[in-house]
Amino acid sequence: MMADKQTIELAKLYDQRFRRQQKSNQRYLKLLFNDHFMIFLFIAFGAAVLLYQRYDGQALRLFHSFLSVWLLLALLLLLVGLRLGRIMTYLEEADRVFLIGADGFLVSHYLKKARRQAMLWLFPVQLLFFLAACPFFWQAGVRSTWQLLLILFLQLSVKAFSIEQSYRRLFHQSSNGALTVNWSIAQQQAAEQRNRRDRFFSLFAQVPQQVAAVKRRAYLDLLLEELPFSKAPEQQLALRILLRYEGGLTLVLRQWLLVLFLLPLLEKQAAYWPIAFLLAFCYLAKRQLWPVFHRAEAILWSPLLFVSQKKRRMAFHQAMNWLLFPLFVVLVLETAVLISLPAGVAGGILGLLMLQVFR
Amino acid sequence: MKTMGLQIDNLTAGYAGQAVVNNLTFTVSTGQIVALIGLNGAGKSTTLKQVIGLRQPQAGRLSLDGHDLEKEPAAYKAALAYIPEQPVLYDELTLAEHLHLMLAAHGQDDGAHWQRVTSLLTVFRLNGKEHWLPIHFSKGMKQKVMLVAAFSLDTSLLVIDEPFLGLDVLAQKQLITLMKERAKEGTAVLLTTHLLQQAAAYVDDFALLEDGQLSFFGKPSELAADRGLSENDLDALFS
Repeated sequence: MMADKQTIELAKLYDQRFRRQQKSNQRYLKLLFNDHFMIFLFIAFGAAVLLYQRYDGQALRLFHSFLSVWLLLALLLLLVGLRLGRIMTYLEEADRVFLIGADGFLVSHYLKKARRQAMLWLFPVQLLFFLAACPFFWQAGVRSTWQLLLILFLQLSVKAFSIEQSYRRLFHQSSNGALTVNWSIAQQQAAEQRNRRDRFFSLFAQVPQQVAAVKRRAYLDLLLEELPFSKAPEQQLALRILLRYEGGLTLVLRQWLLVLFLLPLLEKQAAYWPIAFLLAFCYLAKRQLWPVFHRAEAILWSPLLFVSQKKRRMAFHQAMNWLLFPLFVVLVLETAVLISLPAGVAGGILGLLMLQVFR
Repeated sequence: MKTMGLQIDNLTAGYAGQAVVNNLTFTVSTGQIVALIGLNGAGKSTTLKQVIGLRQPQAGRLSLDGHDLEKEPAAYKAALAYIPEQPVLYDELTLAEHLHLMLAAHGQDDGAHWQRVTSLLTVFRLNGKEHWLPIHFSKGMKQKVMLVAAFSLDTSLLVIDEPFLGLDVLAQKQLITLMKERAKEGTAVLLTTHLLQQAAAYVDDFALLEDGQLSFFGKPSELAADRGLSENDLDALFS
């Protein structure tokens, strides 16, 4: 029988878990970099290029010191790079029970593989961030090849040292000098890695089966008391879910803040740019919020309490528009005041149309 | 003349074209408590899913107070309250909001029912927790929220799947009292249980499902006699 032949080869355990993680990452990345998020990234990248061109050649010194915005941005990129590529052990809760007798194997094989893997990824990941930081170093006046190579060397050394330190923390030494797994540290580290990954994926996307927080937001109680369930219960339910589920409105608010920040940078660009930003916000916000509807649909009560799914969809659509409308109005006013009135009016009309039509 | 209570006629239902229950026919009249019993896989949950209108039957008809599920789904569903085996709550709604939503969705007046809600909250020791989110409740407390929500409604039928799972002894006693009271007021109660001896004390009839067929419907004493058991030894039915 097949089941009898299925065994877990301890020697391949790390590789199996690594491959499983890669598969899961690929699946999540597909969800994250879906068509609407790609549009969003494209816009954000375009805005960053415009910003770079606008200040190209300017010193941008901070408080007349040697520090400049360029240097800070370059260092920020290096710091972000240094936070990536940690040692990944993929240890699970159950390992503490099931692998407790395989301590020697974990020390001599499993965790060594984890370190080797982290060291393999060290160079490409850090090089990528170093290359991204190069234009900023250039603007900051760091132009000699030797200076740049020294920075790269320092960056790689810091990262290698950090991986080595994390690796050493996974063990403690017994009285006879033998190394054993420090389970509390190892499991805490593995849990932190999982959480970090989940947080990354939930920054801009709603990923299924991902634990998402619900916040009551007691400061909204007064407002919600004015909206009792007795009037259109489907809408009241949708409104509360949208307001309290962290995976919905919070994502939209982040996008809104980004657009709010980017719009003034388009002051000297053609009028279609701010309009495109407004429309992109409306499109993305609705795309991000619809999965919340499907989440609510999965609760048994939705089909039991309200017979028609069409009515439930409509109620959710209306609740979304109530929440998005004030955010949208602020963006329209910002466009009208900072860029031009016609751009604001055109963006307002087209955006409203999109909010209404796109379901 | 309209039949009051739940009427199940020749119900055949299952999954992916495979029938799990076959030709099921029985009635839960107003004021009657019926326990659907059977071994795991006998078709109890499938039957309940059909009764609450969660799945389409392959054949047969269900009606509640004369409202046909297929022809008048809104009226049929508004007349029933359901307590599932595992508590399901909206993560985003507080306890009080769940109760308000339940009343509003069933078209029942919030103000007129709130007195009953308050006393149910007290009975199940949930008073003072009205603003809590489900994440703060234990499994037993979540089950109590489901009970309060269902019992706060005026419905013709109460459907309860494994009513005592996760409940403490005190809450179990209170639930039995509540079921009896509601039955006295004219509500039909359909429940599933594996605790036959305990159920014999408060149900009117047992509906025994075996391999998807209704093999017995009648009083606990009749079931015991039919299977050659003493009335105090019903738990030995499946041994």
